[in-house]
Formats: sequence, C-alpha cells, structure tokens
Amino acid sequence: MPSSSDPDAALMLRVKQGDTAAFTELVEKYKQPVINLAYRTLRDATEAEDLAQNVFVQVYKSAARYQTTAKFSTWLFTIARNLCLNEIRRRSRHPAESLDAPHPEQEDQPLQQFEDKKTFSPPESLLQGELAQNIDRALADLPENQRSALLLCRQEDLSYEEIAEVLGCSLSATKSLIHRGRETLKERLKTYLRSGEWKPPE
Amino acid sequence: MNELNPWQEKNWRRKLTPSEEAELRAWLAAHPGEKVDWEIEGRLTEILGRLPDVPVSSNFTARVLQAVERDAMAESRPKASRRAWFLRLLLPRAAVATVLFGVGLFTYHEHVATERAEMVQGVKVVAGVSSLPSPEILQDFDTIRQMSSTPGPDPELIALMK
Repeated sequence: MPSSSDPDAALMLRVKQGDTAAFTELVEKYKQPVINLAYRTLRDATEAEDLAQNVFVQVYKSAARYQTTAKFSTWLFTIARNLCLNEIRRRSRHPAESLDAPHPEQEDQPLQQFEDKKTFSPPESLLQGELAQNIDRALADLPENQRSALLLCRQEDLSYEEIAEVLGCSLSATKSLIHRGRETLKERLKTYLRSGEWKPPE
Repeated sequence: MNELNPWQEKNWRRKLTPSEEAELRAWLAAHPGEKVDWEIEGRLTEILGRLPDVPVSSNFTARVLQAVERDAMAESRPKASRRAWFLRLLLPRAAVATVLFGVGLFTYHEHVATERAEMVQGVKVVAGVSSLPSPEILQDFDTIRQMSSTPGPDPELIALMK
C-alpha cells in the first residue's frame, strides 16, 4: 500500500486532517515539476504558474477524496495534465490573444515586472539560448500525449506504469509514445545530436 | 523499436549500471553500425535531462496557500450569504405576504358574516308573514293580469255617448 512506502501519501493523510504544514511541504516539493510540465505544455510562464496554483488548490480541495492506494505523485500529475488539457481545449475554443500581450494604448507603459522571479544563474544558462529555445520549440510541436510522456519520463519518481496511469493508456502505448516523441526530437535536433554542438540551421 | 530497445528504455530513466553498460558495449562491438544511433540516443537523453527548470516565483507557495484560504472562505460564504439573503430580502416579503393574507382572510370573513346577517334578516321578514292567501283567490289571476294590458278608455267614444 503506497501510504506505508510513499511519504507523500502520509503527508496527504495529514492534509486530509487540515494540516497546512503538510500541504506546504507537498507544494514546496512538487511546485517545480508541476510548473515545468505546465510551462512546456502552455509555453507561457505566467499561465503555467497560474495553472500550477490551480493544481495545488485542486489537490487541497480533493484531499478528502484522496485514496492512499494511489501514489501521490501519480495523482498530482494526473490533475496537472487534466488541467493542462482543459487549458488547451479552452485556447482552441477561444484563440484570442494572450492577456499578457500589450494593448496598443498601453505600448508606452512598461511591461509588468515580477520582482520575485528567480533569474538563471550562469551554469544553468549553459543550455539557454538558441539550443534551449529549439528544444523547447521541438517539444512544443510534439503531440500533447508524446510531449507529456517525455516530460513525465524525466520525473524520476514515476515508473513507466505510473506514467501510463497519468496518461490513461497502456504500458506498451506509453513506451511507444516516448519512443515516437524521441524519434521526432532526434529528427528536429539532428544537427546538434550528430555533432554534439549546436549549429543554427542555415 | 530496435534491438537497442532494452538499453534505451532503461537509459531514458536512469544511467545504466556497470553490468548493463558492459552488456551494451559487447553488443555494440558486435553491431558497430548501431554505435552512431546509440550516441544520438545518449545525447538526446542528456539534453532532455538538462532542460532548465522554469523560474518559479518566490512567493508561489504563499500564493497557493492564500488561494486555498480564499477558496475555503468562498465556500463558507454561501451559507452566511443565504442567511443574509433570507433576512434582507425574503423576510420583509414574507411579512408583507402574511399581512396581505391576513387582510384578505379578514375581508372574506366579514363578507360571509354580512351575507349571513342579510339572510337572517330575510328569514325574519318571511317568518313575520302569518299565512299566505289561499290559492283559490288566484283562479282569475290570468284574466285580471290581461285587463291591465288592454288599451285605456277611448275619450272620443265616451264623449259621443254623453
């Protein structure tokens, strides 16, 4: 039973009893992977944070319904993916411009600043720049299920079976999604992957 | 899926163990044409593993807790607002409706009482009449009634007769 082996399930049991400290601990632990998943799905940092916030609010609201038979991270990423899919559907129904896009009458005003945003430290910025942008773009162009499978695959604490549970498909279908996603990425990034150095396409 | 698949699937999630690496090296030595594919696999795994984390606002957790609190308050608010709505809107309307109903009921009772009093009065009048005339006096009723509808006396004829 996951509750005995999964420390997060134990925290969720405390959240069920209204323990805010346990909830804070879960948010601290999972905010980064959830925001990463949301950002690489929505390609908008602000919307990704808002969506991640909704994910955790949902977790708190659904704490009473949480079954310890389910691993917490599987349950969390299922909620996160469902909210991402809802947002993608909403965008396809209302393909209006982003709320952050500057309006003509506001063009002379400074853009909204987020003082509390961390900045990349120099070592982290090594994969920044054009290569990182190209990887992000290649990931963004993948079908949603392939992209989610690849991103969840990076999540070390999720097994293939658990990724399959989040994606709602079989184990073999999950591995196939990862494989196809990777093949597409190899094709898109072949310049870099063959040489080991990023050369911008001519 | 190719023959590298067993190692690929493991390599997607974690570094290969020394024994797995030894197996792979032996396999690649026997299949040198697959070496380039394996290197590409390895580079892709590496860059996917090095994908930078998206910056997170330092106040993210605080915002989540605030949203949870706000949500909890919003959920408890409907009960209070339902009570306030009842007191502010429904109660005065209920009072007015009760008053109108009371007035209506009183008026109806008054109307019924008046009708009864009139009926009693009528019964009293009828009861005051000692007896009705005998039906025999009505035997020439039709003749007498027709007499009233005959034309009046002819003054010219009366004058000539004089």
